[in-house]
Amino acid sequence: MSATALTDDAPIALSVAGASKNFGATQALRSVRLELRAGEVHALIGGNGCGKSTLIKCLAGVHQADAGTLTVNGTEYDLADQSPDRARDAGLRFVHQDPGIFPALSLTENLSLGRRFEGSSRRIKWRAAHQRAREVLRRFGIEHDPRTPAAALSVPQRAMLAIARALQDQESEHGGVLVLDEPTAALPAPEVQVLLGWIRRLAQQGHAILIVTHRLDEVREVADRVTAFRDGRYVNTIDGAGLTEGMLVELILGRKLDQAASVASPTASSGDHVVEVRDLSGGPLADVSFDVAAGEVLGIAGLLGSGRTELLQLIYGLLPRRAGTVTYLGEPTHALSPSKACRKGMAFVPEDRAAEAVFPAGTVLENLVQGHEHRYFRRLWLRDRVERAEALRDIQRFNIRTSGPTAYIESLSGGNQQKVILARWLRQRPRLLLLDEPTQGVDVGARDEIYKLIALAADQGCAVVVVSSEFEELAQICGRVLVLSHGRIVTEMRQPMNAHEILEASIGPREVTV
Amino acid sequence: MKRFGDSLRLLEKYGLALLLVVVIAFFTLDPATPQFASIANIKSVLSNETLTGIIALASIFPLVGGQFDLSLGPAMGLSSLICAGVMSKMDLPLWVAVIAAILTGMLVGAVNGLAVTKIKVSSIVTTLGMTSIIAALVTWYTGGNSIIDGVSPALTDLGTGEWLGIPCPLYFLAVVALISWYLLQHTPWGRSLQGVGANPRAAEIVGLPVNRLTLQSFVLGGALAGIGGVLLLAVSGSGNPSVGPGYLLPALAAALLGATTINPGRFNVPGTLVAVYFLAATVSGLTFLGAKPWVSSMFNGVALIVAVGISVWSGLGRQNMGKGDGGEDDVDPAASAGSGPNKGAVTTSVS
Repeated sequence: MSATALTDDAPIALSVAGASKNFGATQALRSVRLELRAGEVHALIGGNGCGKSTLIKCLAGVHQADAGTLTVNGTEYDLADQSPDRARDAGLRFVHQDPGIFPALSLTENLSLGRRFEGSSRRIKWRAAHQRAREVLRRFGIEHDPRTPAAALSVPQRAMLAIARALQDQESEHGGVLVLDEPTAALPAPEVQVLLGWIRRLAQQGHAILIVTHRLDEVREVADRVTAFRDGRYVNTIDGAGLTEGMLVELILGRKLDQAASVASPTASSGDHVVEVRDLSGGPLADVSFDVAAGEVLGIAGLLGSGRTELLQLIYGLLPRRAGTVTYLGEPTHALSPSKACRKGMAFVPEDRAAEAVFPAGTVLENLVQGHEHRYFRRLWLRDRVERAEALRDIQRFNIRTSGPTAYIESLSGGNQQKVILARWLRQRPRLLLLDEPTQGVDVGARDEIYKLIALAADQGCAVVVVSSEFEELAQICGRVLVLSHGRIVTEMRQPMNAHEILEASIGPREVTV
Repeated sequence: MKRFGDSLRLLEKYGLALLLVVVIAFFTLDPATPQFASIANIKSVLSNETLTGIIALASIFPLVGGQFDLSLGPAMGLSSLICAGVMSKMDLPLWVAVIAAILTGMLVGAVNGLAVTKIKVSSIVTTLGMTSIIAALVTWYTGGNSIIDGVSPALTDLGTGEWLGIPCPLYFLAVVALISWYLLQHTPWGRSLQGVGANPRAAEIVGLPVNRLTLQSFVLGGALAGIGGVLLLAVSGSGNPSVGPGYLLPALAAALLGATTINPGRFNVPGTLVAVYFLAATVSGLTFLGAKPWVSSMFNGVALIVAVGISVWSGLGRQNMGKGDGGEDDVDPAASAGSGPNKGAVTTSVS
């Protein structure tokens, strides 16, 4: 499906040669190279810690490389001397994972921030600013009045607004270099399709686009060429046409993925019901009923805003319930708070790891133990030796790659941080495990290990509920999937099923409107 | 490279203690300040600073939980007046007065804590307001006059007395420090409070009673301020309505400076004590050099800002590092530079 064949003689828009960067003793980049042609969508892939983010930061001037040169449209720059201003002057534009849109401000204000409002004097010339914003919006296909607040935009439109902001200053409508860092990480499947379409169109206009992503299906769909990094080294650049997911995985990991092991026992639903949800309402959800059995992995699918996250929060007591009952281990749970839920053996891994799960500036050990320190409190003293020994054991058991229990949590890659969060719960042997986007921002290798941990928990009789916007994931690890739409369960699917069927059920009869 | 990093870490850990030694050595050897190392001055600095020390330790509890308490100095003043008033105006025995003083501190802490946890007012605003409220209460209660009569001599003897050649108040500070250290370092309560300070939302999700812990940290800080009030009365011999608020800033400076040393990045008891005496020794030495009284305010203010600056700066440096195991081979700066709500326990409460 890789679109428009690119002529090999298209001009080179950007090239990087010999880029190296060390952080202390860690070699994040070891003389990597990269080449972008005008008019192509180029995907940069690799596992967590492979150096792709470091390269982007060096290009943007957030970090200074130790060595390396950058050539943009024929002009050479020293990467050791790169700054945000210089990156801008060179014609590089960046859209980061968090698009940095201010919902309360108008589209004009969002476009003008960081640029300069129209008019050189102190007074803002609003009429001219709106006029210019209207043109930019039209050019990027955002059909809204420049005075509307950005909050009125759909999620992919916001991403597009960020792209428009990045590219608005390009003299012509082509010839720019746009770097997108995980632009689709927060988008559900149909919205991703829309955004990818727009990205393709930008490339056809002549922009060179570098896209960093963990989602391999996107790479196959949109990339003309793919460059892979591994452990800070350049691996290869290959043509996007005819790529399979297996080839990409091999490129990233340097080995094949152990497919058989990553599938959870799909049929385990013979046990007793751990949770019985009846007519549950709260937040956007209305009259939701379902059961989860011990040893079962139940998936929850749905689009952004379907209520999938809120469903877990309602069960865990993070959101107040309007109506309905949740029976847990045969007992009704009323006025449940997270601390009660947790004491009863529920576990909840939230979607936003940095904001809701990690204790920043804490060590791996503290992050493992937080919430159940009292287990190590014997005879009026916190037994740090026992605590440390068990932390070491769990670092091994859950295959967490770190220098030790006293390493700071932020020195770990996203995937390993997520393993710490999972281990924090699994070491307490929960009866019910609620997972919200358990593999977001996690590379393929770690993803596989997280699937294995989920399967292991289920094997030990834990009931697992997984919310995910990656439907391949649900099809792979869940025995049963409930599809939510507008706060209601619309379908229940069982194995065998595939991602496409789940997607169709999620979109349902309504039109895809963006 | 690694050895360099290790020595840097050691310097960070013990830098302030080293600086304290340097300051003491400098003023001891400087012929311009012969009185600095005199027994009398040492004893005076040691015992005067017990009050700053106790307020600094009191402020640590809310700080660990990510909150500021700016009303601890005034609360100490109020407690000392209540303690004096109960003996002088109500003619009740010393032990009743002591209990009343401590309860006063706890009550102030409880009101602060409830406003922060139930009404969700920012702790800076709450405790700033409380400072003004206490000032009003003090004026109302005393009419602006000191309470001189009726203070138990047993108490004032303790305040000015010595045991084994060491001023008695110092033993109180030592006990308070030991209790604080135990609570923060060796109980699940202290570790949970740290979690609340680092990321309240995550703390809630892992099942910690965030509001209860925050409230407790304020009440405990208030109780220590109450103990400080009793000690203030013991040391000064009379209830003075204008004393109290002045202790807050040096104490806060010490707590924040203490968080840059011994256990860098964390509010910690030994670091706080080192910082208290570093600030006091420097101010005392400068005074002997002929510095005007305003210099100490200037110095404490600068120390407060520098302390926070150091925490922010070294906190950023720590992000990619292990705590003590040297290098790390799985660094993803993207992950570490992630959009966490805050970086570091110290910056948390300051932001």
